[in-house]
Amino acid sequence: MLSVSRSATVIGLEAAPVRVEVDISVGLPAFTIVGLPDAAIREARERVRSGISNSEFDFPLKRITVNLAPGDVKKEGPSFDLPIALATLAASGFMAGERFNEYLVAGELSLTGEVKRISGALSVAAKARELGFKGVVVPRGNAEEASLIQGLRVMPVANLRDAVDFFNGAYEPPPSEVNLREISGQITDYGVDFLEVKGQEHVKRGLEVAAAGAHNVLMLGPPGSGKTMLARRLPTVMPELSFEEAVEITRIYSVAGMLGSGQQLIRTRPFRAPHHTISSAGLAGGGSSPRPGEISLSHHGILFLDELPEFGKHVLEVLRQPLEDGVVTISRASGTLTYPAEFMLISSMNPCPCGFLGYRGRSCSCTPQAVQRYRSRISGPLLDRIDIHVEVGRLPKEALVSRELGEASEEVRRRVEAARARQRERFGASRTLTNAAMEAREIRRFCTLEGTAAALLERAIDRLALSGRAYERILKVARTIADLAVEEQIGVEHVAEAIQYRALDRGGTQ
Amino acid sequence: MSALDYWLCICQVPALYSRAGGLAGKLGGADAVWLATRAELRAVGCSEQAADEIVKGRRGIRPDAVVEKLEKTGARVVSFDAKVATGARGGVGNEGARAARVGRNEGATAVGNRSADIGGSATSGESTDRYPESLAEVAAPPQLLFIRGRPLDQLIGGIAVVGSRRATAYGKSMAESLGREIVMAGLPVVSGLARGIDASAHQGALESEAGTVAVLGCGVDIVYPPENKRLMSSIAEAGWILSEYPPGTAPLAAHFPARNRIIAGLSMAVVVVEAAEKSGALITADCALDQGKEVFAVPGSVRSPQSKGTHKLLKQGAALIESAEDLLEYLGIPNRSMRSGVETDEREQEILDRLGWEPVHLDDIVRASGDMSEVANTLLLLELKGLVNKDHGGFYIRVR
Repeated sequence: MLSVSRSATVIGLEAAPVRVEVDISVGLPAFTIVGLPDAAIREARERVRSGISNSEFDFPLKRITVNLAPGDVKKEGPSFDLPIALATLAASGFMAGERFNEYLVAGELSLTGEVKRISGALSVAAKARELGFKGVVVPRGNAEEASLIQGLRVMPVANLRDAVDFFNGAYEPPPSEVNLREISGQITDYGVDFLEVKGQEHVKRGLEVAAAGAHNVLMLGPPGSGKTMLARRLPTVMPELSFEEAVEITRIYSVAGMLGSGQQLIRTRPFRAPHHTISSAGLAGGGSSPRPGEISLSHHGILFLDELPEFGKHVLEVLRQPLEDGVVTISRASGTLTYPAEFMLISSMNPCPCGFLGYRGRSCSCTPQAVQRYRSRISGPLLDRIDIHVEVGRLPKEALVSRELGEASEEVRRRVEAARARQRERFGASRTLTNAAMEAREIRRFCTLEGTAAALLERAIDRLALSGRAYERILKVARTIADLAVEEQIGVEHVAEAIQYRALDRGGTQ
Repeated sequence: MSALDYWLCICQVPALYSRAGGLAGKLGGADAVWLATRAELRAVGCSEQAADEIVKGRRGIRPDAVVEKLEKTGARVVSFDAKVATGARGGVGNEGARAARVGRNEGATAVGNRSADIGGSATSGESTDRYPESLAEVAAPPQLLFIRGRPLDQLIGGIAVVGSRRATAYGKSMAESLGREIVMAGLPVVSGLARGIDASAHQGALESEAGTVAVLGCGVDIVYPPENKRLMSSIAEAGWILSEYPPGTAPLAAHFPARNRIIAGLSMAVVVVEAAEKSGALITADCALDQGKEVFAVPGSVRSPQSKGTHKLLKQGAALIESAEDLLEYLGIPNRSMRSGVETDEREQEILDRLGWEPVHLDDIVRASGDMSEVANTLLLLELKGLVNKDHGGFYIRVR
């Protein structure tokens, strides 16, 4: 007897449909799986056998052959347990297999017959909808995320029995549904707020400008000056996530298996702070069974690299393409994958190897050459993609004990959102969405300087020995500052402030 | 080959060039030094190893190599020798170099006016390059002096302002004001174009036409340290860049103590702004004392390691100065127009008053008076006017 159930395997962020064909024939008892399965799928034999027996079905003592078609696509993960078990039961006549064609099935079996959470359920559901399936049968723990896909029946099952009963028509689990209006009405809570940061006004201002124009940031400051604390609060002033953005993020986390049980939609902008010992595969994604890396996990959020010069040179190089294109492409012998990676890079470094350069009350023990060497560890091309450098000073004691609270994140976010709206309006239908993403042509068009502002910039470049690469960056940032100030024309004070954010470019004068 | 040609050969062999002054005295002239046999070298006290190195190094060396580099970089050269040979009044500089370029084979001794005729450009009588007299009096005067910038005889009576490469904001601010005030009194400022105090002193001195002299420990065409590139090209336009090493010479550590005697030699007095306990600036001060010149020191905090060296000088009897006014009074130089005419508007003055001579943080200024963009703008304008300097970590300090 032959029976075919339908499932899918996740490649990158996309699911690819897979036919699970099970043939049971007379012969010596055997259980073979073919069709480029990985180790996890080969082990499915044991889980399926026990899962079936422990769900009070008889496991057929015959020759069982499972084929996962198409045969040339590598398949991986334990999510084929459930479709294999169902097709096996159907092939041996324990259940009806007529509705197999209407539903994509995915789920991992435990030996007791329970169906356990899988990763990538959201991608499977999206594919089901795209291919015109009526619905998906997924583990209960994945029901919430899968139901984000509209116009699809999501059938959550807790164990193998439920699934069999559902296909037999004996049991109709309440389909998981989601009220989109309700979701988008919820208030995003990050648990942290800018008002908790004492002092550091110019750093907060720098981060506000960065959020408004989606500029990448480098913070320079001694250890313990609050760089991490400040960076962690940056998502709270960024614009609210749109539903589409939230779904994109959720999908990445779903594939990475990092979605909490019962979590439906990730509604906060991600903040990722990988340690500097991370490998390039860890940062960019990949590995033998590809997984999104930290840069994709920071999609629509913040990638915070603390102690930037400590990261491996090769590791930092992988940032260049995603910073430019917003996606990361991973090429392996088995094929090429693309993960989204539109993130803001917030990095930090000490001003010098010992960390105390410019710190009042403690002198720095580094030679000027050592400082130079330390700073030059960050490559020019990477530095070219960082528009804003802010110096984070260590706070005096009075500021730390003061009761004064800063401005709340919500107020800052309102200004940021208004500035973003101005940018969208300006760029209209073009691909550019933010000031940071402007290309040379757009800079020429939208960042014109009038008399005094142009003269100021020229004088500053000359007198402060700013490097050539500073010029365009200053223009972009000045554009954002003007947007925050609701000004059409970039004024002299906007240029002046933008110049303040080029600490690392200043030549001999510092 | 002319004497200058021999010197241009000698300067390409470091082992020989470093001993050339002494050898010339014993052997009698550049040609004798260049052509000395191994035995002669041994006889006048060269070690076996040094003689070997010299003999080997001399092979295949021609003066053209240096002349070509001079032409390419627009630099000139004067020799100590020529000064002695032609007397204190004889112009050697430009013409000497030109002789090397044009009429190299015309005769061994023709370095003076004749070669100027051959070169066809009669700059003699006007400004020329002449080996500085004050430098000729130094114990081991540099045999050659390579020059970029203004003609050398316009360089009279410099004041050296030197100090630590790892300077504090206070030190840099002091060096900049001293540099500015000294040139405003009509005296050129001599320093070493290093990071820190040196760079600030040059920067301040660029503001007036008395000019500034950078004495390098590498070739005059080499930018070192790299961040002083812009400063160096401004000095090449408005001042002098000098070195005893031929163009293309790398900045070797051994060159720097040696160039300090030139800094002292070109100056009437040496001012040490900030120096740690062991600092190159103290070598310059020692050279100045050996040459019988005044040494001044700017005091700092007794707790600052960057002022340990200057305080040591003060204890040993150096004169303490708080401003260029003190210095000029001490040297008996009339003090012209110390007040510079930088105009500030009301708002700039307000911020300036808020800033002290100690670093103030940007946040404090913003908290006290208004909006970030506006304060940043005013501070930048003040910085561009040279009234304020930015220090690490978002601090600002008043410079004058």
